[in-house]
Amino acid sequence: MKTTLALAGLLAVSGAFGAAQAQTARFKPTARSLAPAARPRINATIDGARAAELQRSTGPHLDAARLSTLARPVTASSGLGAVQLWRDAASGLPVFISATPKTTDAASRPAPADPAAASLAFLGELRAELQVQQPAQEFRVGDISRDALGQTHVRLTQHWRGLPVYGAEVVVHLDGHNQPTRFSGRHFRTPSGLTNLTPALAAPAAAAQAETALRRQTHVAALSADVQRLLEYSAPQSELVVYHPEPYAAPVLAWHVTTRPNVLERWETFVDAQTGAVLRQYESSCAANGPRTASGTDLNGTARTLNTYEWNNRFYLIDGAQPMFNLGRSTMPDEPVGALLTLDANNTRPSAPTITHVSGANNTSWTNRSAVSAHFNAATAYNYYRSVFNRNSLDGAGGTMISMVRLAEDDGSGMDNAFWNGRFIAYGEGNTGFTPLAGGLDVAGHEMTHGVVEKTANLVYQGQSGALNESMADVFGAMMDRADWLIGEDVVRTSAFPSGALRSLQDPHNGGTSLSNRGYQPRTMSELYTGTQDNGGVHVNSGIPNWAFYKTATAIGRDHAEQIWYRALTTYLTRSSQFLDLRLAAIQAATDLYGGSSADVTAVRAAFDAVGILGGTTQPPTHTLPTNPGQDYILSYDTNTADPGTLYRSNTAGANFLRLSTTAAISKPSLNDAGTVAVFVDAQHRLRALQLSPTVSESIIQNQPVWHNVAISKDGTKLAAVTMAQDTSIYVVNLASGQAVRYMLYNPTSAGTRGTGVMFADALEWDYSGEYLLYDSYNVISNAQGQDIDFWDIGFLRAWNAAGNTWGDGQIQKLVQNLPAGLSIGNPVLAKNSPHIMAFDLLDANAGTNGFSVMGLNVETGAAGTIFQGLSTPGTPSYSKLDDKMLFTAFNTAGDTVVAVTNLQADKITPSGTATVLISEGKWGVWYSQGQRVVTAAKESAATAVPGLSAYPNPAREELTLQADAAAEATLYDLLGRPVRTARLQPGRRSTLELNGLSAGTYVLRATAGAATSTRMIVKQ
Amino acid sequence: MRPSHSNHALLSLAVALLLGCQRPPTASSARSLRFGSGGGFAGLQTTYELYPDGRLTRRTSTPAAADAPATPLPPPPAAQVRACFRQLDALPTDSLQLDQPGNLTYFLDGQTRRGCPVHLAWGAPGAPAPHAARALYRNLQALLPR
Repeated sequence: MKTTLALAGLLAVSGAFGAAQAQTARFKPTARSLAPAARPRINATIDGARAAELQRSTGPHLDAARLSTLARPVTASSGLGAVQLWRDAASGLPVFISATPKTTDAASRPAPADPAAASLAFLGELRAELQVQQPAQEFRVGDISRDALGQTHVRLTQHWRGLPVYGAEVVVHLDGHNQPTRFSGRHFRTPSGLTNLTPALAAPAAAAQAETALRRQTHVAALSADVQRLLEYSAPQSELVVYHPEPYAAPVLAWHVTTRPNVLERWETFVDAQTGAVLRQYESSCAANGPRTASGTDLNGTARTLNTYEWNNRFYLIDGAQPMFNLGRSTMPDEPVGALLTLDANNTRPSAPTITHVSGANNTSWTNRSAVSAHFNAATAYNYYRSVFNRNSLDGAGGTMISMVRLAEDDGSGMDNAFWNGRFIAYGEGNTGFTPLAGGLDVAGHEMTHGVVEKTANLVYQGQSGALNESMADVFGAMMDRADWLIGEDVVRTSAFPSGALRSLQDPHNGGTSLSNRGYQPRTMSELYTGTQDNGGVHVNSGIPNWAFYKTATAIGRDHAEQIWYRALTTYLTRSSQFLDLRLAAIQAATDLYGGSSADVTAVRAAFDAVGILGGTTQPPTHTLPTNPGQDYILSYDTNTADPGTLYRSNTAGANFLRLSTTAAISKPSLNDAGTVAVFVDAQHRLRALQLSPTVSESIIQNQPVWHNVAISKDGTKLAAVTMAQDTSIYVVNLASGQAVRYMLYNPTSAGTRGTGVMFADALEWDYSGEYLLYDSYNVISNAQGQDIDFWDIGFLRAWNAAGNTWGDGQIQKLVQNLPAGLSIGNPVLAKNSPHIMAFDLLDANAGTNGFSVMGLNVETGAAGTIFQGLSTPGTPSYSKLDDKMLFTAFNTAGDTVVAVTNLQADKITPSGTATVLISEGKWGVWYSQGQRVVTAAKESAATAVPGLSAYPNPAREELTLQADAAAEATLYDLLGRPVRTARLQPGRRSTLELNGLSAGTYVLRATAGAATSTRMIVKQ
Repeated sequence: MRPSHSNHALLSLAVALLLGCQRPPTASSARSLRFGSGGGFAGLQTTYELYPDGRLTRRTSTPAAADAPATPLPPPPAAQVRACFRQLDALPTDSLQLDQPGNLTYFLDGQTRRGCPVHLAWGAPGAPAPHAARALYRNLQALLPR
């Protein structure tokens, strides 16, 4: 029997508690990984590689030579005899000369001369035929070699006034006596017409010109230091030369720039040294593949310049010309990295697609107009994000952008739609509503922006966040297609959309008056769609933020508006952002960019005001519940095994104990807000209810021996329970209707998916709205190293939809998305009067045996406080009636379990003063009050409620008067779900329920009229 | 006196554990299986509805507007229809509910023979429907006229 604790027995609670076992998992299951993202499969038959034929020439073309015999007379001083010339047909210049010495008598031959000098003399003899004015000055001796036959070969390059003549090189061949006998090679006539040899363009400028031209042809990247050393190249090399742009055309002064834009390629560029024009540019490494440009006609009949790609003599709609293209990491053509790739679904259906490259044997015949449009628009979208926001592709990291055209519907008909699936954009060819959708630039912009959203705010595609997702797509689609404020105007069929557009940012009503009109959207919050279709109206309610953007942009200009919206999206918005969050984000973004006093901020505010998105519109009210007016007590569990009593009620000073139960319990009791009913799980794993007022009585309410924990909602109308098995679910019962559902738990990921890893739930706590269930769960996931890590965390499960008076959608949000390693949190509990303030246990596994702390958290502000730390057991905290104190379980220095108490500061999350022992040999202290207050306003759907139902007075003493506008059946249930009174209601007539004989307490009135159902909480006094 | 718990609403919870789920019987005994896709650029939704007797309809609707009239489609082979409903009834209990819509959302709606509601909506990147549901969806797609 518990006695009042003597003052002498009070011990100051400190951090030095006895050692205790930390919370551990009940067992350790196998971890699972998340599913990978989808990729389109290429099933085209690609031509096999065949040997490429290199036809590059660095000089005059090799045409058929002409053979002619020198007919001029041989002078006496000449050492040459007969000379035979072979001339180039185009230039007339000799490409090969065979000359014999005047005499073959070795004794009479002149003494062997220096080969170099002999060669120059030889060329001098032939200057007329060579059409070179001064061979001795214009030719420079290079390499001299002597072969095994005793012949000497002298290579000479042509120069003009000190500058090399590009491509001109000849060889003079000498016999064993150093007599020149042959000439071979190509050269140019003396470029006497080129007199200005001072370049107007300096070498660096020429190199820049070359790079600019190069970027249109290939991928230019900065080479790493290692690659530079490997290639012995650190920067473009430039040389001033005399250059013949066309074979034997007039020469120009030019810079010859050699560039290595990446590890694979080397390019030669000739830049006019006077004008800067790029005369010629070609790749000089041994490869035939690379970016090309082409022309194709799009769906609108417009000729477009396309960036294509040649690979093994076939051309593809692959844009490898953008800066993000990474040839080194690409497997061409199927897996380009950093490219814009366009594919063709060939009018096949998604369930059995045939996806091929858009390719051809030549680069001049691009007849797939949908592909041309999609490819061109993808480049436009890429360049829009890059030039306006410096964003490198949709993911911001140079990721490949994939467009797929001609995807059909499931039944094979033309798809009247386009979509983004997280990996690629798919366009249908249209049907009754649209023409081929690839024809719309804003379609491409819209869908590609979904990719941007996914990688930034990742707005959940439901409700207001989904509408924001859609709105962002419309906004940036309209910004790419800036000619108007319409969406889809280039692809709609007016027979389906009489307004001529799918949507309008300028006027979201789009010529209609209601949702029955195609293309109609609400434009203000007063018109907000609140239904469930279209994922909560994501394509409908997007009209409201669309109109806000339009108003902003027309006030301050598109340029400023898009910068503000982009910053809002990428910097401030998050997955669950609502319309209000966009307002706040846009105002802040405008402030960041243009100043707090700017016209931009003013315009943004005005725009959101105009559409009805006001400050505080969708914020949950930061309200304080009225204090429970009833007397408060403390319910605790006696841990003295010598005492048969288990659950006790005491006063708030830890005295005047009243034994409530002798049933052994395995879970902390959960009470309704009125303090009249407690539920718990007994040692046999059965559910029990303990009536606390006006008399105490206990019953088994579910006798299957499977349970581990149970919680009753604040209004007493619902129970949540978990079993003792490794069961990733929570069971919820609606006591008013008698229905039950099972919610499957999951771990929401940052990508918006439902991740695995939840093993089972334990502690349960209903919120004051009756919609959300707080719970903690044990998780096991794999870290980046593939190791299993386990932890406890807290989640919010939407178990009830008050507006619809139906089950919640089971969506889960975690209190903390990514707990730091070694930390676990659990045992959540809400403050009594501030629904946005909670307390919970935190375990730091790295803090040794005293790693538990009781934490306080203001969910709205994010402020947190440590209420008590250094515990060796979970505190299972409980707020006092006024939230000015916190109960928690602890060990005293003797190792006994106690219920301790600490004062709290006004913020309700930080302690004030020193904690003290309140109840010895006890745990699971629950502070409760026995009184009535309104904690939740359950909203009934007008469509499903019994019309005109009223029940009064409430609270009632002897009888309850009922009235409805329809014939109805009314049943009064106690909190254990037992019907205690019934009545038939006639429309417009009053009926009464006799309450005499019923215990004072809370009851549930349920009225049904056909399919309509209404419930009311009734208090019997 | 200990109250009788024979009429306790919580007994339904025990029943639910045995049956996997429970919902009140619908007014009509006929059930149907709705599947399709919707969303994307246009927000249009195409809904196919299959009945056990082989009737198959298609309806295309604009966002949040009143339903367009259903267009009857050629009935698929009876054996394939039965197979699809058997597949529906055999969906594992952890494959009955999913709400992960994406820009293009695929969906399956119906009710198993035991009365368990089935509502699956998927399309969010990286959040595929359970394998059994996807298999059923593919088989339903195969019933569509080509």
